[in-house]
Amino acid sequence: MTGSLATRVLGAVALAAVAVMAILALWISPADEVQGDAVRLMYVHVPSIWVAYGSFVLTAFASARVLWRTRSGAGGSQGVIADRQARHWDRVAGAAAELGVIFTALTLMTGSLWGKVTWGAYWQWDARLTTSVLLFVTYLGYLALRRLPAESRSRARRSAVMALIAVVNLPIVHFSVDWWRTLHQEASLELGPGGARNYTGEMYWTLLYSWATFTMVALWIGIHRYRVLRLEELAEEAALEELLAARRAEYENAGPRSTEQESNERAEQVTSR
Amino acid sequence: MLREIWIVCRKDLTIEWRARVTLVQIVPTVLLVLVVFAFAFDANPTLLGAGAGGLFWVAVLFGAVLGSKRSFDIEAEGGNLDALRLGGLAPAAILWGKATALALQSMVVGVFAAAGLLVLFSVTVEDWLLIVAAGLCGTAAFAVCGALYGAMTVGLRSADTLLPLLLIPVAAPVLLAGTRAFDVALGTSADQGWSWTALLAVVLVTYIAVGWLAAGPLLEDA
Amino acid sequence: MTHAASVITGYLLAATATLTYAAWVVRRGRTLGRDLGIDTTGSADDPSDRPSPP
Repeated sequence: MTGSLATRVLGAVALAAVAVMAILALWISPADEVQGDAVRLMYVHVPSIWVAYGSFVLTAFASARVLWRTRSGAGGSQGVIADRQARHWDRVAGAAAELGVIFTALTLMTGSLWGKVTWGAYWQWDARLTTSVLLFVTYLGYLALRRLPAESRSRARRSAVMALIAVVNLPIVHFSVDWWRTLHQEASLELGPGGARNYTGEMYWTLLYSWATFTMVALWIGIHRYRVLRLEELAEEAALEELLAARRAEYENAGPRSTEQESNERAEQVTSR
Repeated sequence: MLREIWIVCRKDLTIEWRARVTLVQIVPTVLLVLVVFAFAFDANPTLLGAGAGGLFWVAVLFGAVLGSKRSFDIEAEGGNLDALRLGGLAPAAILWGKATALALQSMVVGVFAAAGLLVLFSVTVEDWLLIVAAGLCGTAAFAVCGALYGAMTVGLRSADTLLPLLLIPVAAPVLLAGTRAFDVALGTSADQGWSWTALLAVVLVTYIAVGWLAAGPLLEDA
Repeated sequence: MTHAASVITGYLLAATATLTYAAWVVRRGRTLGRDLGIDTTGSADDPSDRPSPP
């Protein structure tokens, strides 16, 4: 129920693009002289991390908007608008972070497969790999924080703060890991994931095309995820309304009572909570 | 501002002095980590000596995770945090007060961990100044991170299990740089120990700047 | 593992992961939409989300 004309068109185009990408990446683009067919993993591996980076940048941007919109002092009708916009950006941040985690996981999986055939090991303590895995775990933590039940405004704010800390921390992690590895590992790996090789011609175009395809797929899923997040909020609100209505009905059925009795009961409820 | 920070810090230290959670629970746990690592490496003196610098930081990191959890547990009970806020303390003062208390406690943990290494793993220190400088910067950085993430998860259900997941990846650069600096100071590696200590200082300053900006949004209406 | 096998595994992994996630999102949207009695959150999106004119 989260589809619309726009997303249906986008979904169809993305699906067709994936089919074309499979043909381009698996048949039409040539095998590498050195790596052979293994180079074809690049068309999944590299666009995945690009999409993941893009998602995390979007998360950070949306989080900054959330904090901007929920800063204190906005009251009245201004406050209502600000609150709606904050909720909007909070959903954007959540949907984008989830996509980022999925695509980082894809990068790590395809990367270790690629590493196995080119380096002979699934994992190397290379700077980029270590940074990626820390990035992955950081955003897993971010998603875990988002899942915890809390009042929506304060949840939006604390997740926004966490997303911004994660972004500030990223260069520190990258720099320190880079320094750590380059001091201890003389030979840098020229081939394989993250290798500093220039690809030209058909390989280059296939890579660019794959990136466009991945972006479309991610966009399609992301828009749906945003709408699902909206529905989740609505469901939460509906459940709360229902609970309140049930409470009210219970109260009215009990018949009229003295105000003293009522206030006593209310006080009891408050203290028992 | 400084006075407010001192009020919060003194409050936390007084609570610690009365309950002695750091001394009686966290320090023994950290020492236990060192003992358990000796089991993992089959009490091989060469291996343990080579890994001593890293072990110190892993153990202190675990201690810091426990400490920051504890530091915000005492605020979650009975709405203490609201009371502090209503009492007119600025969010930043609360965060820095708690971070300072946490840093002091982490340093105590660090001293015990270092003593444990000297005794249990029979390491020799070649550069005390480097140990002290790197130790101070690193534990302070852990404390600032711990206070930030503690404030982020305060009062949440299952915060106990979430905090390590959030804290350890962020603390990774400190772990790395601290380990390299200690390896140099213990003479197990010929690296640029002071450059790593400088990196620790840069990380610490960055976290302080981040905390300064984050204190408001985190604690304003928490 | 041969090159071809690892390439196929990689592509299959990517496709399965993406499809599983997409299917989960769509199905969750359907269930929630049905429970709430909302037909579509489509192009009109949620009017309640738009900032109302002052």
